[in-house]
Amino acid sequence: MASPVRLYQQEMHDNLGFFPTWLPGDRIEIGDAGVLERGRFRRMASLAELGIACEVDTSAAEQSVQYTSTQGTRIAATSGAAAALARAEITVEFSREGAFVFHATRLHLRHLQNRTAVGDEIVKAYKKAKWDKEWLLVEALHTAERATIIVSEDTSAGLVLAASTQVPIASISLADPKVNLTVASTRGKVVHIIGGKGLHPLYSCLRLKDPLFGAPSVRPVLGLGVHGDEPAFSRPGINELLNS
Amino acid sequence: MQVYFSNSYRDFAINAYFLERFVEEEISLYADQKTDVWSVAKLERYMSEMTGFVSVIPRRETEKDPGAYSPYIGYELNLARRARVPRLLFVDELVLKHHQLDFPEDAVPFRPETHDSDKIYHSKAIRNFGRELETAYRRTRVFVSKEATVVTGEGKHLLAAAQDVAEILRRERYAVALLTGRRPGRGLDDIRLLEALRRAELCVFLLGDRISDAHIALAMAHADCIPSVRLQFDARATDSNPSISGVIRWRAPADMLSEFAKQVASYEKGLVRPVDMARESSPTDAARSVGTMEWGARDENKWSVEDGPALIRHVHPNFTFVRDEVDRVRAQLDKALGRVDGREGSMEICNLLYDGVRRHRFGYETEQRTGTMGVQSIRTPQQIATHKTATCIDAACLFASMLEAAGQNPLIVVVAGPEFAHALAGYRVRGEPAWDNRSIGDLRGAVARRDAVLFEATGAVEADAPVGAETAGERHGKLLAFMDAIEAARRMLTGSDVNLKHFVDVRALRGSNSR
Repeated sequence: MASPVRLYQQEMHDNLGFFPTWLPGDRIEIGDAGVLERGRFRRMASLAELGIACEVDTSAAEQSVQYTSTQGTRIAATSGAAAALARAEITVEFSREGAFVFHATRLHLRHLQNRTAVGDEIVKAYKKAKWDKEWLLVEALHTAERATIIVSEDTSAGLVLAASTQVPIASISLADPKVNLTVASTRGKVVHIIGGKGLHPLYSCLRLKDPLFGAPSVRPVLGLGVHGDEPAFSRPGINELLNS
Repeated sequence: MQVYFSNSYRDFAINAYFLERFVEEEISLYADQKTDVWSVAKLERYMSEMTGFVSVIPRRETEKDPGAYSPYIGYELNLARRARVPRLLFVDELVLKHHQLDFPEDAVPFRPETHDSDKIYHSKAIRNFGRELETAYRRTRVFVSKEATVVTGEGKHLLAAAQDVAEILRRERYAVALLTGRRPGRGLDDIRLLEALRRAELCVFLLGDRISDAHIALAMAHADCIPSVRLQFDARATDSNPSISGVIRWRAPADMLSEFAKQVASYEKGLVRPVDMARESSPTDAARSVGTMEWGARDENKWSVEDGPALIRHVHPNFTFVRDEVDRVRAQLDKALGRVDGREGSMEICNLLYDGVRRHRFGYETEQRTGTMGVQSIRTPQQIATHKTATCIDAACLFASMLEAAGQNPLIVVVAGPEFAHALAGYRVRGEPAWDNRSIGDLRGAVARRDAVLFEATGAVEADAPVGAETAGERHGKLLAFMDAIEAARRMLTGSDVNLKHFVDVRALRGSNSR
């Protein structure tokens, strides 16, 4: 069965090229092995559990992002009195399933460093029947210092956020640590994380190539222009997640 | 009043600025449309027919010379001085400072960064020049239209070549006078020869290895600025492209005749009128139009813009220019490039290839119209080197060729947005699997993970304004540093209004084609 939040997953993948973690608060780690089910990564094992060493590199570069679904989302802010500490309300209305708001600050990329060595070890694990050929390996993810993720699971839903801030509410990120956001009310079915800390909201994964798991065969001679060092992995596309 | 406009085609902004001044002063200009043929005979023809000569000489800095300028413009200026045509020269202040004696004292300096503040000064110079032309008398050259004189040096191979040259001229409806063999004792006193040269509309000189009477005849024609094609036999010639002074060195008669036919066609072609064009559109459009090369695209240059995979036919890892560039990088790194793995290794190779292209100082231009909807011409690496010009797709295919020759996994990406399409070059890091899905999301993810690196390919060629998503400030000396080219491509790729039109993974595509 397809994920009920296809729009969120499709558009976030288009925007950043990573699979959005579902549920957004799920803790996915590099080196996790698992399968995709209804748009969700279901962890089955990890490299650590299999005794495979996993080196992780964290990018020094950081970014803050703000995405809203191209369809079905309306955000309105109402400011309070012009006091030093302003109080405001932010109303988020959704008119379709999967419509979303994704704000994150200080996103860092982490990725698997020793991919080739890990690939070799996974093949060995498979031969010892410790690795399932359907499993995917999480090899990169984004960590967010703070994130607000709101996704509609209904064709009509919404919520109201109460904010206390010293900066104009219209210009700020909903993941800004200077803004203290709380949920004032909700309507319909909405999955939300407001100002969540240390989330892993985006990930990408690899799968070992099928031929490695097939019946023993002589690999064809591919001729000029094809590397003899073809990678052991293939990369699943977004459709695999959407149709899982 | 007919005034020839000599300019550096690639400096659109500077040319547009001066065209605007000429529009204001109502002085019409004639310019040679940029083509892939350098014809000195054509220039000599117009130097003798024009009543005035205007040249805008911007700097084209090199690593060794911050005040360098185009040698082609320099040659045009020398021709104008030899032809004694009234002139107006606008010379970049820095060029003038570094090469003061290359220019006559009446050269007018300009500062490209702040030329707007000198508008009044430049307009005044143009106005005065206009007055000078109105009052000056210049005797035009007297010749018999469609008469050609072919002067041949000694040697059977030259005589045979002269017959073929004469035949090409006859087919262009020229009456041909063939002057062959030695004319002993006459030399510079050969007045009949001089008159034959002066009477002809066009002269052709076939020169052998040794100094001959034909060389003396050429010297006479040269001094008199008589339109001349100079064909020099040279057993060591590697191609038949004309030098800046117009000498066409040839070894194979067929190559020489092919180039000669191009020279005659170019000679016959008229000039364009950029000031009139500027009035009808804008000075910038006029400058761009004149500076966009018209070149003879062959079938193998053509690409249907909807056919992404067909781009692979424009990736040429075995072309000489490509191999030379890759060999240079191999020598620099002193290792087999095909064995270089990982992000850092691929980045180093690509950076060196990029810097290698930068040093050639090719110029950027937009695509010429092919006359067929949905079809675009893509230059081969050799044509880029010859034309010293590249479009974004030319540059992307050139880098793909070099990266493939260096054993890497080249990518060509074409993105499109409102009112634009643009090509980027890049590579997939060795060890990163090719993607089955090739959406813009997949590409964005790969770039974020550094599994793929894209860069603004035109950053390695000179452009006087941003071409892709780079800022004006990032282009130093009209070029982008490699890291800025990567950042510009990232900006372009992550733009909210950008769609992925084509994604070509050269290695993966060749692999699937060979299965």
